[in-house]
Amino acid sequence: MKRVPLSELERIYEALKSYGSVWVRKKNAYETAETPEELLSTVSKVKKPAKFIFLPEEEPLLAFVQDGKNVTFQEVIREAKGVIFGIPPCEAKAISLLDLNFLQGEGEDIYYKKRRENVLLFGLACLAPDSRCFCTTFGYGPFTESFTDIFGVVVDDVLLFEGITEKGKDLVKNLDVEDAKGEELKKLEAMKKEITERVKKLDIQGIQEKLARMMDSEIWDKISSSCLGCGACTYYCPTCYCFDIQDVERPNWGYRLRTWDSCMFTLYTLEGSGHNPRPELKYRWRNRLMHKFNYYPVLYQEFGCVGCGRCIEVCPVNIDIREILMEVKNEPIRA
Amino acid sequence: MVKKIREIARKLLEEGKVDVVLGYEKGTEPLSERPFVARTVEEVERLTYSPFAIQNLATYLPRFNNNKVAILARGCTTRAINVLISEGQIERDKIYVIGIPCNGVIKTRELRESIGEEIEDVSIQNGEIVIKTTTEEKKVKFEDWLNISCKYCEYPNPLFYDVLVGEEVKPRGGGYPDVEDYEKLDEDKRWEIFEAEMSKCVRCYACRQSCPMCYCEHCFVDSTEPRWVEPGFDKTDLESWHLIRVLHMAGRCVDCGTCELVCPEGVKLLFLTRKVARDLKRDFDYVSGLNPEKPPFFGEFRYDDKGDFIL
Ligand code: SF4
Ligand code: SF4
Ligand code: SF4
Ligand code: SF4
Ligand code: SF4
Repeated sequence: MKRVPLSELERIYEALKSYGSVWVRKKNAYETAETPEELLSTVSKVKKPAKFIFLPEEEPLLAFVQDGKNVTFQEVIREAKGVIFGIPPCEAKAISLLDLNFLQGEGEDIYYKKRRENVLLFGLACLAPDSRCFCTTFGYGPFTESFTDIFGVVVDDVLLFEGITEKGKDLVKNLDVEDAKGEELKKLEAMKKEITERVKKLDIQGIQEKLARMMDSEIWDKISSSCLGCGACTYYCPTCYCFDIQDVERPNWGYRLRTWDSCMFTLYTLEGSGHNPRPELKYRWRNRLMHKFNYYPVLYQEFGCVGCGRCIEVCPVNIDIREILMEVKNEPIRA
Repeated sequence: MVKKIREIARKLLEEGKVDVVLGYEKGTEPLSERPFVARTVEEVERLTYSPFAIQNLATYLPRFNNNKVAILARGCTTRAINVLISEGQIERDKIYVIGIPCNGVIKTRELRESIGEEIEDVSIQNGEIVIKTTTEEKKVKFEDWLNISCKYCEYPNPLFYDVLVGEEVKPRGGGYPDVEDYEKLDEDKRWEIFEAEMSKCVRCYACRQSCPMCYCEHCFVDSTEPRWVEPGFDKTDLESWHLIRVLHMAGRCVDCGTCELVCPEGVKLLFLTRKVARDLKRDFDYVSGLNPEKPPFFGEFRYDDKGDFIL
């Protein structure tokens, strides 16, 4: 592990800058930093997750212009390059889950890839898990480094960090910084234990198998009865990635636009014929939970939720996914 | 009050007079009093009520059209019920109204976010909201955090009810001073405020979904044939979405404030809906939701209507 005093962060800032943009944590979203001081942000949970960088709310994929009978097309790829500084383990894990969906095999998404492969994740341990966090439920915690390229912890007024991936190690190698001191590492271990234990872990053992047998359970009525069917929970969720593609038409020109979509919207599954296979809110709620706790594990052996608690906070009617998981767990299965 | 609500709800369910009771329960977020649908006598024990109950419950009524429903209703809820009846969406005799004289609701999301620390406990004492955080006890004035519609609400008491819980309250005052202040600004400033607010929108449609008047199965903003508004965040589209929504609310919006209170980005919406409401009142002497027998505002034609705004 390396160390740099917080008062000398400009020593790493320049190196990060040479990589491209440096995004830092602001209350509402990740924003690019203009000064090294901005690395010191103490925001522990950015409202809009870093997903916004890889999967922006909107992105044009194609532009077209009409000139008389001629139509010309132009492919558009929005790239991104740089380092996200201070991304917490939950969001880094969420990005690893997005990778499963966007970087593999047939599903490979060139737009996502162009940004993802050029952005390094400089993670920081989360020192202030809040009352909504339940990350430890998913087999990792506020000090887990494995989903980042470089991982650090702020111990008192020093940043301790190390390279995790090859790319991360390369960056660290070239920095003019010293090794962490023994007492700092000791303190780090103590913090890790204390803070990790603060997170309320849920027992969701067997949830994947249970859900598989609950497709026609009455529980979905109960769960969805106060849901409004908006997009808040999924839009702010760092692991939700559904999108829609539509053409935006202007006089004589236009563009093909990808925007977010949400399985909580009626339109999500509405077919051209007028038929909707998920006609009621309860089916949409079922899909959201199934996708995260059954389909994802079946496909990728990973849950599709990282326990960040954002959906709990942004939901206009405070529907709490933790309560719902417990309800599912306690629901008797009809024979 | 909570005791009385539970008593009434229990009796209604026990006697089979209703299938469900639409009410509120304490949520898991600080300052959250969330909608709750009680279906059994046991569930009645979860019902609560406080000024943190921001959601207008009339929004849920159309989805319970095949049930007999009891609903906790304050002034704006009963106005919403009236509009829904006049627009043929629900029937009065299937709904049992548990009236609640309303002291106003709090901008819970804004208040929660302004604290910026973990909130451990919240209570309301002598006109103050007492918020215990991990490090201190903060007190803020109840009136300072009132929903703007509540601050100037003329109809805090339910307009009708089957049973009333508590004593009727005196309205705080009526009028639209907030709208008038906005109108006093010059055009550029007004436009600047409008654009700044709209630019925060993420198009999650929580405002629409929470609104009792937005019951359309197919919203204009989602329509592709014809296409009224394009998807995405070009400001023309974003702003059109909001302006058209507000126009669809003319004579229908009951000024409950739910749309603005639930918005995750804190987009101000009431300065627009309230301006339309003020204009309707001033120019056409129309207030929405007062009379379920009257035709909807846009459903009525009068020769003596002022036409001076038509080009
Ligand atoms: S807690 Fe909610 S917002 Fe966070 S990952 Fe899970 S589903 Fe998404
Ligand atoms: S299907 Fe729903 S839960 Fe799954 S990623 Fe899409 S929006 Fe999120
Ligand atoms: S944010 Fe809440 S109300 Fe909106 S769709 Fe999600 S669960 Fe339903
Ligand atoms: S709730 Fe707020 S962010 Fe969502 S669509 Fe409405 S104004 Fe936009
Ligand atoms: S537009 Fe807003 S204030 Fe008006 S009825 Fe709908 S939710 Fe209430």
